[in-house]
Amino acid sequence: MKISYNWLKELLDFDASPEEVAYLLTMSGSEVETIENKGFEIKGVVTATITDIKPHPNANKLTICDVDTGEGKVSVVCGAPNLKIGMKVFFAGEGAVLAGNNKLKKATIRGVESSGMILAEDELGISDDHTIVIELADGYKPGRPIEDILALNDYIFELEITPNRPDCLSHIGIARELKALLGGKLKFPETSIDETGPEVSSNLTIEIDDPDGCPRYTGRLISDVKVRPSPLWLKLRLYYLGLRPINNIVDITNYVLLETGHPLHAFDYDYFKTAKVQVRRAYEGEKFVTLDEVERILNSKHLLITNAEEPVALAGIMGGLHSEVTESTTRVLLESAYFDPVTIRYGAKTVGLSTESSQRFERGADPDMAPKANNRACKLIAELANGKVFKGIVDAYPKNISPVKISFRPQIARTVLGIDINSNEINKIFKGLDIEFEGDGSLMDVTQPSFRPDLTREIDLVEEIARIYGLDKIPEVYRAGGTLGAEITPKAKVIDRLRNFLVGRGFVEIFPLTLVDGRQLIKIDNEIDFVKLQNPISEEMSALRPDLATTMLKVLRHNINHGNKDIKLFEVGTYYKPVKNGLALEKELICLAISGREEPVSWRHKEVFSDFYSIKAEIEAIFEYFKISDFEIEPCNSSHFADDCSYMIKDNDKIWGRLGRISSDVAKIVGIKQESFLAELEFDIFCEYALRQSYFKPLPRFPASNRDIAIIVDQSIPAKEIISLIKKVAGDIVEDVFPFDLYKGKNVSEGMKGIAFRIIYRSKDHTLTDDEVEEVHGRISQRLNKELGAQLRSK
Amino acid sequence: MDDILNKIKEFESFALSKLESVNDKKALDAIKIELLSRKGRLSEFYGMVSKVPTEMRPKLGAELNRIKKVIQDKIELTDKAFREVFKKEFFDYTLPVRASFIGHKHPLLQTVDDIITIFHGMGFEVAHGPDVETDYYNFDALNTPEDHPSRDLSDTFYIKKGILLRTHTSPVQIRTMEKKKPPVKIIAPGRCYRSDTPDASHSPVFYQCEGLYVDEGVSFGDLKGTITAFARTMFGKNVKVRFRPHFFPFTEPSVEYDFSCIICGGKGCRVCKYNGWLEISGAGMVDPEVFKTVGYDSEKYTGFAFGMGVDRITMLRYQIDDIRLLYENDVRFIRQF
Repeated sequence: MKISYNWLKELLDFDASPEEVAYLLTMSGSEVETIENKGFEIKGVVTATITDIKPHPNANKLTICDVDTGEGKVSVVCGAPNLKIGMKVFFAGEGAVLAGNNKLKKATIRGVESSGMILAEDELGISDDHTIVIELADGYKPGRPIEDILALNDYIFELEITPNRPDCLSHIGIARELKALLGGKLKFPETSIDETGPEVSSNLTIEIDDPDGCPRYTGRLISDVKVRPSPLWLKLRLYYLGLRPINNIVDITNYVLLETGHPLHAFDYDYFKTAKVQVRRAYEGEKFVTLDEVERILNSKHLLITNAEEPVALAGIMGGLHSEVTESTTRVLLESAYFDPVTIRYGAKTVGLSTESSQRFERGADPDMAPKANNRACKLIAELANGKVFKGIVDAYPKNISPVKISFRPQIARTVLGIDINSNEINKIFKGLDIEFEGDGSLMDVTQPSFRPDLTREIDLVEEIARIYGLDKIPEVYRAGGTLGAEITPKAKVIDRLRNFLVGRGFVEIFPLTLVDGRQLIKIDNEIDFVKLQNPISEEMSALRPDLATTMLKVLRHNINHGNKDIKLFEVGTYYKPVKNGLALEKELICLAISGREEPVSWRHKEVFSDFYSIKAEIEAIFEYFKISDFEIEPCNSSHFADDCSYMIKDNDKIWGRLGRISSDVAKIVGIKQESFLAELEFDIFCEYALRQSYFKPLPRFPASNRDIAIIVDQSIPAKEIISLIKKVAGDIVEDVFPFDLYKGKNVSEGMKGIAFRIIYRSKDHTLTDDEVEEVHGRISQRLNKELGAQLRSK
Repeated sequence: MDDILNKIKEFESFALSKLESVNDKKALDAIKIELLSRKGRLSEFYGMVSKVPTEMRPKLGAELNRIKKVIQDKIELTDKAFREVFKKEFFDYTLPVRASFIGHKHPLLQTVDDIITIFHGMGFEVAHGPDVETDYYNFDALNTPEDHPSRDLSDTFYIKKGILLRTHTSPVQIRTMEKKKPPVKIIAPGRCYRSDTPDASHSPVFYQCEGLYVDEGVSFGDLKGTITAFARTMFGKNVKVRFRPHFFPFTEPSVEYDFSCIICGGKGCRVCKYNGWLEISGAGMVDPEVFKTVGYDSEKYTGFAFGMGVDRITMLRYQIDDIRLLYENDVRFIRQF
């Protein structure tokens, strides 16, 4: 909403500067987004008289005008079609500045020197019209500065008005806000009319078939209207506020709209053959051409204004093409009504129109303003269009809109706002806002103003007090720590520890969008169940991710394609699965991905590319850190992994994770050009394990004895089996067994592998002797040989 | 005989002074050959042993052995010193090691962590709600009219009739109050969804954090204090907060709150569009209608609620100019924080 500073000054006496006004309005809820200085750049424009017009020697369409500027005569080349000898015009000489900071220089036009310009409206920023030059009334002597004639300088505020405040979509509304903040008295514009026409009641009847849609409709008639361009001041005001001047009648309705906030519509009354206005709902499928020349197909929820035969307007939204005021119009019917907000909102939305009028009606217009705005516009039409206004107004008001009565306890304002405001201050605020009330002290009876549809409850009045009292004056309350212990959930703690751990291990945390490409999900797994969006913005974002792998792979692709090839990524995040009745299953997964080199390129270590063992090492590390030992890794089928490198993590029969190598098919679908490894763990199960409390165990009191054993076995025998056999044989003196060397090739025949284990022997109650250790170690060798066919490798 | 002994003495001091002045391994090796090899100077002296009278031989031999030992020791010492120097020179404490990758947390989640920490310190607990919501929790219970534009298909993603992706974190307010009697003091961080085409400042998925405090005697002053304390802890003691009246269906009075620009300190710069203030988000006192919906007695309890755009706060604190960077997850980006 654009608001003119000059106009506000006409409605209220105040001294505040435009910047102060902007601040006050912003801090009371009507946010001023910008202040535009209008017309200040224009300099050196004066009135002048055309004394002679001669043809241009080199151009048919141009003329050379002699102009009396008050300071002498100059010669100007001009191409306007409306030049006349003796005509009063605005003239800009050399050095003058026009709209858009356009500095005037002497110019030679088609070989003839021109010492200035006769101005059209666009050159002064009064409108965008450049077809003719401005013709002033005869009385103006040459040489008067434009500032004497036209208030060019103004400040235009661009306001953001919240949808609950239709009253602020007008200059009167904003002036009232300022009145509440600054004091003073609102000067409501003059509405007394010299009614020179016949009685309106014998020339117009209004019939409202649908009082719910149209509770109030006022009509006035004006005859002998001269439709012509508006005076400059009116054009300027509308144009500054973003409206294009059309003709005096349309401009007046727009002017009153901006002034009072009440939408009006002017009809050519010749189009009302039966002298009757009928307001009714449209028929199903009824067609109507609005004045933007679009045919609208309506239904029975749309509200129409008709001339009792055919529609003339889509009520409150837009008039019809055929009944609009044109230059040949002489009789005008002026409508000022109150329409039901819901009806107008529905209508505007369904026909796809949002107009100055519909925006106000759908937020709630002021039913009491309907006749006042009508009178105001008639007064202006009488003045500016020489109209004869008929006597009286037809005011059809079949459904009275009565204001809400609110019982208001000032104490509530004090409690909710935390301020110590007294009744006098509250009374002053209400008066400033034109809110009527009775009583004070502990209980007040407040009447909702007709222009404030948003004020219906006690709490709404509290907000009014807060706004005008000033939010910045409400003291901040700082409370010392309360007794409300704020819990951190165990789950949150585990997530925190896990994220810190993974970051410490060199993983980069990702946070992708959860919307993914549904088509791709199906391509990877055509049986997959996922949550689909009914109205996605694109196929690429048409589903909620059913796992974390999908988004992880997308991020991997982006990074690899951008040269970030050695990469370790993780996310702890939500995935979504559809459920039959209800919302969706939303659970968390831990997801890791590894690709490229296992460590950064460095002289420190050999270059190693990640493989399955890299991702497994990370899972082991996590489990080791969180003391999770009861799990097994077994081969499985998984849509993302290669058949020969796809494993699940399980505990008894509970499968709660997977890890493996991204299959070449999936890599191709996603667009990943590098071998990549991924793991996913169900967070809830992980969390269960991770939350098991650790208890102190005494440190060992006796030294350990380390022995290595190197064997060659069939390569199909898994390490797990060898380790468990070693543990079984060694019994309780084995503290740990782990492989420290693995090899094939030289000295190891085809189909076999060399593997070496370190065994840590330790007893709880004594220092193990060499003999004791050797005895057990020897038995281990024998058993490995006997049960697994392992051959001992000599050192 | 004395003559020979003198010559030997002379040789000894010559050899030692030569070894003293040697300054590289190569020269040392050359001197070693010159002095100790089979055709070296010491061998010449040994050759003389057979030419002196027999009774003098042991003495001469002993003297030569002593000198040989002295020279050998000196050579060994010098050699060792050279080796040490060599070793020392190879060692280079300026050599970058780059032994392992350095992990980083995502900047948005770092901001979430900080927000949680700050509010936890003020007694707020973290609450969660689902991303897939009902229109009841997302709109109805929050006093949003049936025909409110935010319910349109063009603004909200729907899964099916009545089920949608939450457009704000406010449904968590309702879910929490339904489950718990006052006092309630929570923040609810989480993803939200709106049907926005991605550009530098819009993302169809974004991140909000909701706050709610309901108890007896909670006033607008508490809201101001809480938001101000947050702003100062997050962005520094000099940050100012301003509250402007606004409109939301679920709060009354409603406000928007701004922080003084954290880039220019309020003087005006590109980031704050030269007005010194950064619009952060909305807040207000919980509307009595909302209390009615969850069965709280609005005569007894009051409360405030606020929202904040975590994306926006993250972008402000790190001066990130495109929201898409947050969700693209380029490691070169994440590693900057």
